[in-house]
Amino acid sequence: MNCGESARPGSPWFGGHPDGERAQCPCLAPPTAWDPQSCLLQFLYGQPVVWRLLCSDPGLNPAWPACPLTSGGFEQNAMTREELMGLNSAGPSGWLWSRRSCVIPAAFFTQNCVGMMFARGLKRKSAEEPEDVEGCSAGAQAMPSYSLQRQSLLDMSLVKLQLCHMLVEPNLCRSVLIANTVRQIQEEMTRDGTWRAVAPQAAGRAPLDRLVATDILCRSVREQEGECPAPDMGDGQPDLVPGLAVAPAAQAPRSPQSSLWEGDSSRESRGGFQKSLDQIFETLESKTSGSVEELFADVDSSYYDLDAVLTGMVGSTSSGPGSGLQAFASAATSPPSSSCRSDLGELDHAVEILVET
Amino acid sequence: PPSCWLFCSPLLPSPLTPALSPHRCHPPPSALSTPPSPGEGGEFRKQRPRGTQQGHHLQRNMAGAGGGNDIQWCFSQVKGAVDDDVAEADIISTVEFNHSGELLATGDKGGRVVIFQQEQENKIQSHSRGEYNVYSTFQSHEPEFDYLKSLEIEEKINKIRWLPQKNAAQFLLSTNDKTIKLWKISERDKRPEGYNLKEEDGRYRDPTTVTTLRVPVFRPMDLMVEASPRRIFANAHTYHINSISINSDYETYLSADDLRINLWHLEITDRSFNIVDIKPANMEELTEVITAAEFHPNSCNTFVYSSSKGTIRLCDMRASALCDRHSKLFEEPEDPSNRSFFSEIISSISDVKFSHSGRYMMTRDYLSVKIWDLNMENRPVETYQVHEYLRSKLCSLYENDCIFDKFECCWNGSDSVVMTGSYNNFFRMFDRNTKRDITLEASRENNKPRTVLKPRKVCASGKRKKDEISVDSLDFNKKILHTAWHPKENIIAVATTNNLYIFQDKV
Repeated sequence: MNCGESARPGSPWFGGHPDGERAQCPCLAPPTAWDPQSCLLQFLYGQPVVWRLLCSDPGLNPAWPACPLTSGGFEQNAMTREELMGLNSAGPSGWLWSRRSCVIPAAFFTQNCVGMMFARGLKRKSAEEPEDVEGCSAGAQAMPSYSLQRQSLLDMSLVKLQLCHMLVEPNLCRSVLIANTVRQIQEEMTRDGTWRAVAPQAAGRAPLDRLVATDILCRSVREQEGECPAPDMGDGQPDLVPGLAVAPAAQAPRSPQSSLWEGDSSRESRGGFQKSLDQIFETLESKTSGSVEELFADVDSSYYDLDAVLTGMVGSTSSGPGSGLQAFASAATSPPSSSCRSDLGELDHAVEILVET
Repeated sequence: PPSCWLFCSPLLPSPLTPALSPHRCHPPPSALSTPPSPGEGGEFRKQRPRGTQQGHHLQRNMAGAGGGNDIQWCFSQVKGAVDDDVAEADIISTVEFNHSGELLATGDKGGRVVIFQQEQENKIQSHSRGEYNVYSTFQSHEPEFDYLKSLEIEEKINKIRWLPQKNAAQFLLSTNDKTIKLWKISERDKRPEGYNLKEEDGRYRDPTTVTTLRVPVFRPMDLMVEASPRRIFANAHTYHINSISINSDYETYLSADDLRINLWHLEITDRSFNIVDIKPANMEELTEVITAAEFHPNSCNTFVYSSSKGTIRLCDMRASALCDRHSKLFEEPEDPSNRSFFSEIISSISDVKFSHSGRYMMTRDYLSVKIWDLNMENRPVETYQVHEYLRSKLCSLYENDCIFDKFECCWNGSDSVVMTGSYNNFFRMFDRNTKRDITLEASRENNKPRTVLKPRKVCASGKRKKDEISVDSLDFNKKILHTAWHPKENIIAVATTNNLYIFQDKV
């Protein structure tokens, strides 16, 4: 049996329960045992999460046969084995962890948000490098820089905003406080000139029901060149666009960028981020009817349809919050920037797929 | 969670539940209604002598009681399940004494209300005050499903407020996220017997056997406590209700959600007046929500509401129909040395309570309790640090969402001591006169009655002394969010996650 057959949606391939069951995908070499280290964190920002082990990206480990699930919509980017270090030591580096059935590149764990909890929650081998541990759980490691901490906080806040379970209406006070925190960070980063302002997306994109901010944030400046502003920026302020495409160096002219945030002009001038925050609140206000189907869907199978997630097929059946992002997952296959902030590119992919419907 | 539970069905009773005395409605019993274990004293009974509605307790001398530190607090009772595995429905979500202190109501996440009643003081054992035993328990709210939004409406009881007693029955308001209900709790200890046309069990007698005329008479029966919903105030709130407060006119009350405050008349359920609306025209511009609201205890035209930005607004309903413009704005300027990305979050006020006198109000934010004089708007008159040692841990607390915990606070009957909860099942009291404070723990380890509670101490940093607890070993899952103080005596009710502790001062 080849991997493709077993990896259909809803298949037991998604098994691999931490308490002893083995993953049943034949392309996954059976793990010898599930030790505590192979089952990752229990909590992600206050939300209980079960982590499962999936197949690794074959490109990274030639010994592993190809698995269509991982090569689907998930672009194999230039991750090297070294970039994956920091993952727990139970499996070979390169194993991918999934929250339920979403695929997350291992590199995501070396990033701020999850890496923080990761370092705190698990026993790590002393041989592992602690240098990618960031954020407030520094503990014995060296204190991360302020900007790294700030970036961690920003990422964490954005993930928190997305992770609210939509079965019950999310707590508005909490969402407002998190959104305000994000705004504060953004403003400060703008003042510092470290803010990668982002262009609103191209007109042809699928409408986004859910928070897209992270995706927008993580695009490198280079990708945005040439993109036109969103269609509702009717009076088109072209002087802002070059401002957006400014290189992230500190010498970036402040005024066009800051005017992006502080100007009193149209809502759109506050950039895609504000728009996304708006979308959060609109989502909080009213849910689309499509989500009813989600509620009644069987939680463990097609609801978290990995295939659909990766190929962006979910959008047709449900207009729920996540669907826009799924459409994104397929569309946004741009290669990560090779700038020094390559982590943003990976975060880009990671968070797109991370968000559940 | 499985989707099947969205369709409301009665909750399953807890296995610990005893057979309750007959109730008008048989709700799924909450774990709080379990009979006390032998160690807690008193057998489970519901009888209470008639005619002793109020005032059958000796008035303790509150003025003399020095307050938090001079009082020695003793364990009295604990209610609820013992096991560590907490059923979600048993999580206590609100605690409230009534105006005389004789009744203590709790609401839980499962939508149930359990009312405890203080026993008449035992003349023989004059060294102990009456214990609280279950008086009534009923299902106040059921889970609902909002079909338009495809969202579930939780049945969790957010707040309970008692009405002052006007006749033999007791009334309380209970609310979940969307609907407020007025409940009447009444006793029945007589029933008519000897009907002419009916048998005792209610079946009609065969007319041919009726040969004499007899008139039913009332005969005593076992005391039965009935709870019935008298009013349902629904469909007035788009957002989640966080507060209800009964006006001093005892005819109206307010209900506040995240963005709006409505004024109701207790008799009228199909209409309410919107008196505060802070919803922006564009939801994108939303940066502040209402977190709590309360009527002034004496002025029936005055109320306050607090916000997530740490401000309190006092409004006068005589000024205009829509009180969007405050009469007073209470806000303390930010301390620039303590500024961080979390400053706004920790300044968000989770509770506001007027003092009994009406001269002061108390606010609770994440790290502190502040007492405000209504005549001074620019800063509080007193500030008490509840758990300042958490300031360096704010990032982690943000990460695990604890920073959003909404702690409540309460005054004692004489407004000399204030109390609030913390983590690790600790709760704190601050004596406003002596400026002393004390930290106590609600745990079953001290559960011998009349055991004096030992003060606890958290070691912020450095060397940990004996008996101190270090910040890192605090259990942030054990939080005390809800506390209540008897209006006249030194009896406090402290709710941990699923247990209700009652402490008294040492007599």
